Amino acid sequence: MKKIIFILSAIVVLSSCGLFNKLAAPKHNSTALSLAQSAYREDSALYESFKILGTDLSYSHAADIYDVIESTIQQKIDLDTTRKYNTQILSMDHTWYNQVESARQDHQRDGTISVNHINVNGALLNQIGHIVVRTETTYK
Amino acid sequence: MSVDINSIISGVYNDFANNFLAAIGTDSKELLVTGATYVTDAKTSLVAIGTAALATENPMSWAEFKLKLIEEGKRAVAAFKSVEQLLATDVQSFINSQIASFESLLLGQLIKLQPVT
Repeated sequence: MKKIIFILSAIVVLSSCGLFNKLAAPKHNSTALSLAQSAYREDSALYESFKILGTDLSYSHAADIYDVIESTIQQKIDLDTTRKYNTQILSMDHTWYNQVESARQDHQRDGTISVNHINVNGALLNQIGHIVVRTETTYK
Repeated sequence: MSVDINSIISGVYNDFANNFLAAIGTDSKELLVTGATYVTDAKTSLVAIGTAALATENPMSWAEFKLKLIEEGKRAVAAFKSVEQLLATDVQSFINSQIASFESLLLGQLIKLQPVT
């Protein structure tokens, strides 16, 4: 009788272990981290170049770079859509994408980017990029 | 053979409780680091927004100042979501390891209770 109880207990234990593995929260994903790092590098480089070149950089010269950054973040959104329990990380991704679009529109409206927009949008983009990269890095 | 179930369960519980409290201690430190990183970056953004609004030449308009503050507010939300995600991930991996440990301890006790043939 005890042997039967033992076998039944083992079956329950093993099946519960499988169930909890399926419920695991998002884990470290090297591709998602790499995409976050790329977008962070790209927008940091763009705003650093504005600081070096001053306010002479017209929107037409930077439009392609905004496209590349948005495309990188979009690739991350597509990947994160497939991850389990992704509500928080997807929300952060969309905030980042919207910030790039907001910075692009400010630049487009300025024609040649203003000092205010270089400083403010540069800081806001740095902040959200840092948050996403840190989140992806700390996944276990 | 007499079995002291209370003693067995109490041993398993003590192990679980100690591990749980240790994990909370570790997580609290990680959360503080995340919070500190966020407030350092927030200072840079708020200084940039404030400086743009108060610039003597071409100051940012009031409407745009408010818009940028709203955008900064979204960073705060993102930082909280980052902490929330970190906590959820840590809690889930803690639960998984505790379940495995709990299973192992109980199975060990079950095996000990088997009659020697």
